[in-house]
Amino acid sequence: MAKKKVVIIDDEEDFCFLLSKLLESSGYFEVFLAYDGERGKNLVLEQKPDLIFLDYVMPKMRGDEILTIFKNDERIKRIPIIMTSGLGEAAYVAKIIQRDKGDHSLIGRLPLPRDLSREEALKLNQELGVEAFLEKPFSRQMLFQAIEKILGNLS
Amino acid sequence: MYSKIQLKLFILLLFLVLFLGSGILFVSQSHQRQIVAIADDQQKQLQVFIDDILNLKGRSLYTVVFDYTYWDEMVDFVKDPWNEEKIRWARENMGGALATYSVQHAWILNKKKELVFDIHEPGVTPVSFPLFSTAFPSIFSGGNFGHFYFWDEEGLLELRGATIHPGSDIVRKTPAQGYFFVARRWNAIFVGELAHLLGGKVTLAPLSANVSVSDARDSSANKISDKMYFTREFKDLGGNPIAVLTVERPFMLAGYAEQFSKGYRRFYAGVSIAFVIVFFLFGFFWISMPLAKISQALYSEDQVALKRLSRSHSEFGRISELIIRFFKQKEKLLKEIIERRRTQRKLKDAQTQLLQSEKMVAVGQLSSGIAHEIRNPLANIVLAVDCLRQEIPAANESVNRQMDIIQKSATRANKVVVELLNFARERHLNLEQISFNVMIGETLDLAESYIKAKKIAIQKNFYAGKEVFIHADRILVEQALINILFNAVDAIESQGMITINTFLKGAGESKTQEIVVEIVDTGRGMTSEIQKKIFDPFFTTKELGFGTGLGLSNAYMIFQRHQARVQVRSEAGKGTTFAITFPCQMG
Repeated sequence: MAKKKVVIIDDEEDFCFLLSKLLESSGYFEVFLAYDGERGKNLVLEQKPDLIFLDYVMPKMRGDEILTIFKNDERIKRIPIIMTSGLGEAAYVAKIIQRDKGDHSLIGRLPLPRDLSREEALKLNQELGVEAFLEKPFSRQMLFQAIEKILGNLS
Repeated sequence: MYSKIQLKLFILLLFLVLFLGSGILFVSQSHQRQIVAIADDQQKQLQVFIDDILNLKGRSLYTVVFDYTYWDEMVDFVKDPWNEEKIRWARENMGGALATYSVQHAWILNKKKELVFDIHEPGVTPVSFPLFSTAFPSIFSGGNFGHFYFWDEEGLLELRGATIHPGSDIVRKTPAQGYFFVARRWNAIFVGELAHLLGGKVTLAPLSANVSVSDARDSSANKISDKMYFTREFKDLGGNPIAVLTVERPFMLAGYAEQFSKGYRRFYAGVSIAFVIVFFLFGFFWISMPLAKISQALYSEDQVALKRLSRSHSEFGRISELIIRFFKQKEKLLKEIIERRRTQRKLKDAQTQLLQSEKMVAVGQLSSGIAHEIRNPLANIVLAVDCLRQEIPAANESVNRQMDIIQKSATRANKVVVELLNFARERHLNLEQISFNVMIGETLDLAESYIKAKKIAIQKNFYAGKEVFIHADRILVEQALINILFNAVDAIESQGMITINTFLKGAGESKTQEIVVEIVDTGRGMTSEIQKKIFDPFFTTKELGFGTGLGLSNAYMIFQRHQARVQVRSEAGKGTTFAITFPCQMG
């Protein structure tokens, strides 16, 4: 079977390296890296991956701006996105995204929003167009669980 | 009820009465003096009058003695008194004189002072008369006329004598040719006439040597006699008083004086009594009573009584009004003070809570930034190890162990960060209506074994009334309470007791009631310094490695989100009490 294409958009180079190594060592994936939103978009357009890993907190281009661009672009909006963040539970991050609209310079300064219930969280994910959240740090197990949920069985 | 002011008023009254008394006394005295003056005046006038009357009455005697002694025929008779014709003349003329002049006796003596003729009124007892001759010098010592009195068994006799001279010698230059005497008897008729003329009672009495002429008038000036007395002495040949004539006249004014006196006294007594009564009544009703009411009302702060008094249109009314106003102000002030204190307390409470919240918010803000910065590297560590595991398939035990250690450490670090984030984040509240006591019970169940394991006694004093419910996230609240309980347990070093009290607060005032749960321990307690920081995030009195210091902070946050108040009371060495007050609803 052909390897799945994965694009990782994250400003942390080390993280990108490690994640790509982990994915590629499984043998199922071909990984492409971008360290910012602009280059990430170009990369996605170029490669048309099967999966995108998008970090929330990134300088330059605002986190969910990228998300919005992707979702509004016909060519790439159907590509599933896994969002990663060190900020905490998935729903929580989603809430932050919704509130901040990607202005992550506010992180660390505003009072934190109220937590979402499970239902709210799922709904938010759907609205945002995010397939799954992975909370950093995540284990290998959690990673492949999420991937398989989206892309189906890999083997 | 007898106020001091009544005593003062009484003294004033006494003075008034004294003044009145002295006034009346003065008037009375001056009246008295007036009457005395009038009496004196009357006395003087009457004396003159009496003297005049007496003189008048005696005038005729003088006239006869005067007229009949400058008479040639008298001279003739005296020269030849035994002549029958002359005797007839004498009888005729002397008899006439007796009748005309109301004289009872007459004597004629010659040059040699020998009695040559005497005559008396018919029916009158003749008077045997001592000889004049030895007394002549004294009789006629003043001149040619003599005047004296004589007292015998018949009474008083007034005598006059004169020297006889020829008719041409009215001035009596020539030597006396003879002597003529007449006597008038002051008989009852005469005295009666006198009395009539004098307008009073007249008494004639002989004067014995040892009886002194007393002034029958009462000489004391205070009592005015109702009678006036006048006296006239009658002297004999030798010039000695032998009789006294007393005239008694009534003094009308004396009676009036007496009446006045009595009248004044009665008036004084009556007025004084009336004064006292009126004074007391006035004093009592107009001064004493209002004053007593005011002081009573002031004492007992009875505004109703004062209200009645304030309607009076006098100073007392005004005073009462002012006092009422004063009381009202006092009440207002007290209310204000109470209100202010209450507000201050509330403010202080709110400030404390706010401070705590702000601390936590600050931490929260800090947390998210830190969390992000730590978790990214942690993610790298974990992934790197995963990668390494792939790349080193035939790793030995030691290497594997080390890689495990790395991952476990990263995971542990992550846990701490997560805890921090959880603290910082507001979890979604899963609210339900739960019975307070049930919740406490569940909490205790969870914590009981841990507490007992440490050999700490548990005492429960639960509210036993109507069931109380709170609107809360059961899991969170119980978690928070357990945090507090564990804190209490940790405070007790060896043996001790934890008491849990629950009770209602704020009975019946408003619809929102509150229920309190108190967790009391007999542990080491806290100083006030520590008390201030106890809910601060990361604050812990435990040694390094034995807790993140987030437990109590978390609990505080949870309570806050449930609108519950948290209070701590503690004394170093004596133990600690946590009191959490929840708003609640009755079942």
